[in-house]
Amino acid sequence: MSQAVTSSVSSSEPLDLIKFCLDEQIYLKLRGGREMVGRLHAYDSHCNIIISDAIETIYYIDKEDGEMKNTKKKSDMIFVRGDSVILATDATNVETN
Amino acid sequence: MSFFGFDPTGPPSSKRNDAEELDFDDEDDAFNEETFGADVTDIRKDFDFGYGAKPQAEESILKPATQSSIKPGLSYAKAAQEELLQPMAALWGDSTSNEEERKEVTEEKDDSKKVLSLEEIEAKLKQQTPSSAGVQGTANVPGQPPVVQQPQQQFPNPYMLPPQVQQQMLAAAVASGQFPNMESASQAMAQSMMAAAAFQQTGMMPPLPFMNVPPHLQQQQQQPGQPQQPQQQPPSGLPQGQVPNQPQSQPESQQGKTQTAGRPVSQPLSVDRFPPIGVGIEETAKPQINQQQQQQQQQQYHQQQHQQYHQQQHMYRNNNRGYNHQQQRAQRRDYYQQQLQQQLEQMSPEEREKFTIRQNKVSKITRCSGFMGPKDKDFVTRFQLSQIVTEDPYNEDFYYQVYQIVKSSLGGATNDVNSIAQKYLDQSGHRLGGRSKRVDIALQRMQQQVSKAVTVAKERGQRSSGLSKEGALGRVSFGTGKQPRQQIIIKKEEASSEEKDDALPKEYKFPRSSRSFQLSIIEDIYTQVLKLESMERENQTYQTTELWKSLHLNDKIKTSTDEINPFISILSFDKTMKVFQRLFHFLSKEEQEQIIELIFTHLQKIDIVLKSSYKNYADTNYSIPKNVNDKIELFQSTIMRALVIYIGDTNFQQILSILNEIISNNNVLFLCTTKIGCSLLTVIISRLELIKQEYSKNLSAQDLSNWSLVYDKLFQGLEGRLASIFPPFFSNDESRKVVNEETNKNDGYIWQFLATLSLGGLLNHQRIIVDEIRNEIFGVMSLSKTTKEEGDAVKAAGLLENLNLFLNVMGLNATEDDISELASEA
Repeated sequence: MSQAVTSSVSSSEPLDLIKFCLDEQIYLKLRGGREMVGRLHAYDSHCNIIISDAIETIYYIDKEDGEMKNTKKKSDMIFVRGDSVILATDATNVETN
Repeated sequence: MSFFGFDPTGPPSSKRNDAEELDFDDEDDAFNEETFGADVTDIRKDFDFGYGAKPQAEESILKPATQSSIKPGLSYAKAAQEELLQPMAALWGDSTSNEEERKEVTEEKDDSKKVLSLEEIEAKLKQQTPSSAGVQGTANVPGQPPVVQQPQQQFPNPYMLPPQVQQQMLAAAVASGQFPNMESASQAMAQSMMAAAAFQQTGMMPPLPFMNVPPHLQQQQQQPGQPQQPQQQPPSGLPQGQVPNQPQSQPESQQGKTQTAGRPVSQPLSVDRFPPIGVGIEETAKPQINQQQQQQQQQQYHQQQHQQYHQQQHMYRNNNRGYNHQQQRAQRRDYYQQQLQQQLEQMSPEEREKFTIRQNKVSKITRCSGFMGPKDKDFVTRFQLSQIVTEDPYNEDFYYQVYQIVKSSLGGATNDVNSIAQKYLDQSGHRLGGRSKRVDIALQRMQQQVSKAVTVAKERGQRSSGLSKEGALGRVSFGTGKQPRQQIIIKKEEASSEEKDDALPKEYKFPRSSRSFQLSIIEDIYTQVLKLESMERENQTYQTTELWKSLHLNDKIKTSTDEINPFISILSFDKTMKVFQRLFHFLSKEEQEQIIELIFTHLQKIDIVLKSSYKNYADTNYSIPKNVNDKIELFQSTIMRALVIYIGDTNFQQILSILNEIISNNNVLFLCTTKIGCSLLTVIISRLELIKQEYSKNLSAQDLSNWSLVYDKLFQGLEGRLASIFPPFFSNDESRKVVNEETNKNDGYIWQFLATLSLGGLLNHQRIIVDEIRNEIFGVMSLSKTTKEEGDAVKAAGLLENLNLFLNVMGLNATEDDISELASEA
């Protein structure tokens, strides 16, 4: 017995959107021109976040040619303090470059 | 002529009094000593009730006035008077006015006198006998002056009180909650009263010589003492009504008052002239007795004065309270400095340096000590603990609880409250037990605190619903250990949210096909599982209806091409696989059946099964991405494991119906190109065959014919394309063979599948199978041969072993070169 397709499920709290990403790949935009993608392990109400197998991308402007470049850093497990988090979303929502 | 009408010859009754009083005095030995000084021999000398004491007294009055060093035996009567008269100072005004007056008269004596009196006290304290300490009971703390020191407001005159009264008072103080126990109560007293008590002692000096001095001399005697009073005098030193000594002091204090008025001071007395201490203690009692006797006489004769005294006393107390407090601190400081100096003088330079360093450290540490009372400390600990403890440790403190379980399985089990208390003590540096070095007491107290804190936490839990306002978006919550900041709690949607869906803003809705929808279902499942697990831990009865609802087993999601069940769609998420066995455990038998049936029916729609087929990766040389391989492994260790266990417990008919479901709803050939599908089919078929062979008696002919029907159906699906079961990277058929990183993995599952397939089939089935995979068989044999020639005999044997798994079913055996009949049965 199938229900109407139009019905949907809701999230009741803003942080539920982060909760949905538990154990999934999450994308974080951080202060200081950084991005981070990894598997979400834990988060709290301050948006402190622990992710594993994280790849951090640091964007910077090259002094010589003035172009924007980036470097990547890998971490097995990393704690991201909440006050540096600008944006957090399911990594599938973000086109990886 | 007698002082205050006292007849020096004394009434005959006085002797009887003497005897009567004896017991009392002996009992109060310690107090006597403390109160009256230890110099007993001298007391006796002076104490002759006017029989020719006149010259002596005169001497003692006049001479010592100018002396600054201690001169034994001469002036303690004056000192006593002085002390007793002190309270009068308060009548004249506050501390400042007293000070001014004092300065006028004895500026340069001020310091030395104070100092010496303190020294004297200290010396006295050192000399105190154990017996006196015993009398004073708990008041004596090692390393501290064993004087009975009590808050002045409460116990204005401790020295005059019998010990049991003091004990009672201490007990009362403890009971009132000010102090946690006797020890701390008396300690607190000792601390605050140290300096003041010293003065009390001198203040209590009995006016012994004064008794035998003729009135006129006595007048003189008292004059000089007055100016100094304000500085030395603590109000608590005042005699009190309920004490035997009282009458004795009464006339004097009164006298002092009258004399003070406007009389210029010529000869300041100083405590310096106190008798030396450390003379025989036993003797103290005797003069004391005499003294008491005399007091009694005085009492009889001077009722009037007694009354007056009472009035005075009230005034002293009222006036001196604030003044006294201020002085206490200063006095205490002075006292310590004094001690320090003395000690330093006795030390060698190195010792002194060490001592100074140590002293600096100590003073740093203790600079702010004592600001918090025991009540304050208790409050702080309780407050901190209330943040730590929780009523629901498994939900709020899960990882610590698990850690504790792991730990206790290694060591001994620990009481929860105890461990928290112990932990707190360890962390806060109190494990040494504080000043009293009583670790057990500290722990005990902390345990009490913890249990109190648990109660507080419970209460807090009840009202932490927070402030809720009608129509407001959220409500104000209170900070807790878990949510340290105040935040707005957004109202949770009620269970009936489905009905209210339309009321929700658009952005809160997820289309059913979206990833967010799947993720939200998973979180919902987790929530339910955690809830049930928590209830199970507490042995509560639980309902799984909500969990069942959260699985969305009967829902359908429409995608652009297909309709799919939400539960099947979420099965490929790692977290769903991980939670599967946990949720499976809560389901009833019927629900389990239903969920298993659903999974097998939709087997090839499960994302990970779909992805695990080698056919997806033709473009990339059939190499399977790592994340897919990881997922396959996870699926095998979680969901497939649950399925296999379930199948192991299920009867023939049910398994048969499951197999039938698989065959009718899925493309069997496609399933066989996946490891998961292959393995599952292997398990099902071998289980069916096992039951058929072992328990065939229990099976009806109908069952058996059903089984052969289903098998035929299965075989039809595979017939003609059996070779495609072999992924190219496992294939040894030269025409399909592909080498990649998968090639070296174990291909045993394929041979197992073929073995069970041929096991269930008849001879013609087996013949078809062998015929179709002939190339594979010979490929393995030749590979085994070359491998062996290359020296890897183990691998070669492994290859053959897998092959023979299949061949042995049909009674065949393969070597590198040949296939022969299986010899074992021959």
